[in-house]
Amino acid sequence: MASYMFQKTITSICTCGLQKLLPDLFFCRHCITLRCDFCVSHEIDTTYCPHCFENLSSTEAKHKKNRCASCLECPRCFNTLSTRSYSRTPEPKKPPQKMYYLLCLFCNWRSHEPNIPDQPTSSGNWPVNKNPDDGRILDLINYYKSVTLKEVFDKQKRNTKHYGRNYMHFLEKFGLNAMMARKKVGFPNFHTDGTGFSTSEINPAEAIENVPELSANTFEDILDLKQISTLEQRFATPELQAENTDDLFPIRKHLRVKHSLRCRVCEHNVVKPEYNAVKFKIKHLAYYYVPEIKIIKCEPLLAGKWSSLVLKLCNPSQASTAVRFEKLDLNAINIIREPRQLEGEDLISTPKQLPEPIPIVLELQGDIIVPEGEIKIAARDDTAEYDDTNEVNTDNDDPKYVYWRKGNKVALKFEVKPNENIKKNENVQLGFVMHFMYSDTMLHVINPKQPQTVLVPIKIVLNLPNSF
Amino acid sequence: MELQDTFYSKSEYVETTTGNKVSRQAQIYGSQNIILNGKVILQSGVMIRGDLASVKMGRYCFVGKGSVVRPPCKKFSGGFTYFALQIGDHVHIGEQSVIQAAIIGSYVHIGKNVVIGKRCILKDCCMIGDNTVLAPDTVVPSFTHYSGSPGMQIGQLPVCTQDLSTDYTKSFYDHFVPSIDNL
Repeated sequence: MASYMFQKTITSICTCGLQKLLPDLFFCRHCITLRCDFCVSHEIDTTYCPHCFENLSSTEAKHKKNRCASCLECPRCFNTLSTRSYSRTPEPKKPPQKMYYLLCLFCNWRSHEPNIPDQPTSSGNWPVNKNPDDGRILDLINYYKSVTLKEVFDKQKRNTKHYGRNYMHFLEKFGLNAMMARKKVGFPNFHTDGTGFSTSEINPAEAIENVPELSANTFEDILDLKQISTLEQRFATPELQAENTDDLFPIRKHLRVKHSLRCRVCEHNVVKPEYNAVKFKIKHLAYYYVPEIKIIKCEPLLAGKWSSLVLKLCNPSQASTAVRFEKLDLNAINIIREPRQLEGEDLISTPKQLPEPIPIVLELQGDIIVPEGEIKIAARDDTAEYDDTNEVNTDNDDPKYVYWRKGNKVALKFEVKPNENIKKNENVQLGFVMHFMYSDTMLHVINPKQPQTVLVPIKIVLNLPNSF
Repeated sequence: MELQDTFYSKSEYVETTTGNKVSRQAQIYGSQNIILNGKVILQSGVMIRGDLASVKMGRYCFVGKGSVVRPPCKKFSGGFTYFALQIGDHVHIGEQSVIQAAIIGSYVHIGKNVVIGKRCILKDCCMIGDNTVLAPDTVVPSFTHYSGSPGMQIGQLPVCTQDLSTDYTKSFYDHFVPSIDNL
C-alpha cells in the first residue's frame, strides 16, 4: 500500500490540470469526468476529537474554539497526556484521598512543572491558562462582527436581487442567524432605515510613553538553553508564548473534521462519510470506475532505442468496459472539453465554471507506441477468486498487443523510445490518453432507460525510472 | 509497479489448512493462546508472546522479519495485568517492529522499525510510517498517516484506503511463493 502513497510512477491528469495518483481522484457520475480535491468543494460533515472520539455539533465545536474539552496535549512534545493517580492522607485520622496529575508517557513531562495543582477527580477540570488580553480580543471580535453586518447591509441596499447560491453554512460564522430569521418571515433582512444595528465603540490601542528598560541580567546571565522553549512550543500557544519551559501549560487537543465533498460544477456529492464509521454513504472515486494501470515489466530504457513495456489494466467496475489508446498531443493538452452528458439528459443548467484551470506544462522525453483498436476488459467478478476455471475468450485479441488476460485484468504491450538526449539516472516522462467506456448504471427516476455508455478520455503520465 | 514475487524456501515454512504460512524460525510462545484466522504470513524471527495473554489475528495479515508482537500490560496498585491483543484483517506489519498495542483495526499498514507503545489503539484504515515511535496510550484515528517520534499525524489517507489495503495484502499473499528449486 505504501507504494501507492509515495511512488508517483503513473499519474493521471485531472480535469483541472493537476497531476494526481488514481486513488486520490474522484469521478463525478453526473459530469462524467475526473475531479480532484482541488476541484471539489469541501464541507464539514462532523467534528470529532481524534483521541476520545467525542462527536460535537458545529456550534458546540465553535463554542469550544475547535478544541476538545477533556483531552490535553503535552506542551513539550505534543503527545497526548495521560492522568496518573496517587493516594495521600491529608490528615492523619481521615481516609486517604486519591489525587490525579497529568503525565506525558513520551517525554515524562508532569503537570507539576508549571505548578498545576493536583485534582481530586480523574476527568480533571484542569485549569485553563487564560490569556491576559482575552477581554480586549473579545471586544475586537464583537466590533468586527458588527462591521461585517454593516457591510452586508450596505451591499444589500445597493442591489436587492437574490444571492443565487445558498450560503447557509456561512450564517453561523458571521453571526447572521437573526438576519436569516427575519428573511424567512418575509421581512427585509434589516430594518430598512438601518437603525437595527449599531457598531459598538472600541478604544483604539494606545502606545505607552515610558517603556521599562531591560534589566542588566538579561544580557549578563548565562543562558541555560534547556530552559528556553523552542519555536514550535511557542507557536503551539501563540497567545502566551512562554519563554521558559517551566511556564508551558498543557494544550487542549485540536478537533478534526470529516469532510463531505461536492462537485463544484453540478453540485452533486462525490464523497459523503457515514457517522462514526469508516464507511461512506456516497463514494464516487476514480478508483472504482477507471481501469487501474500498473507496470508489470519494463525493459531497460536506452536512449534512442525501442524497448517494450507491459502494463496491466484492471477493470474495477461491475460492468465490462473497453479501452482505446491515443498518443498525448502536447498542443491540444490544455483544451478543456465541454461537460459530457448522457443521451436524453438535460444539460446541467448553465454549467458553473471551475476555478481557473491550471495550465498543464508537460515535457515528454520520448516516444510511445500504443496498442491500436479497442480492447475489451471483462467486468469485475468477486467470485472469480474462488474459480480456477476462469477462462476468458481471447480469440479476438491481437497477440501483437495483448500479452495475457485473466478475469478483469489484461496485460498490454507498449513500445517506448526515450529521446537521444536523456540524462543518465533521470526519469523518462511519457504520456498517452486512455479512452475508457463508462457505463452509466444510475437509476434515472425521470425517464428510466437502458444503461448508456460514454467514452471518457483520461490523460496518463508515466514516469519511468531510467535504471530499471 | 505491480508487486514482485517474494520467494521462500518450502522447508522453512509451515503451512496450515487455512493458508497460514509460519516460519519455523518464528518464536511462537503460548500457541494455545494465539489465533491466526487464515492466510497470515509470519516471517523468520517473528516473536509472538501468546504466553502473556491471548493474541488474535485476522485474515491476510503479514508480520515482517524480526518483529515482536506482545500483549500490552498495565500497572495497578496491586500488581499488573496483561491484556489481550486484537489485530484485524488485512494488516501489514513491517520488519523489526515492536507492537504492544491493545487493538489494531483492519486495513492498517505499519512500516519498518516502528515501536507501537503499550495499550495503543489503532483504528481501521490508518498508516504508521517507517521508524515511527508511538507513545503508550496513543489513539490513531481512521484515515490518518502517522509518523515521527513521538508519532504525529502528518497526512491523510485516500477514501479508498480499505480497497487499496485489501488489494495490497491479497496480492502480497499471492506473490509470496515457494522458490522453484524447493518445489
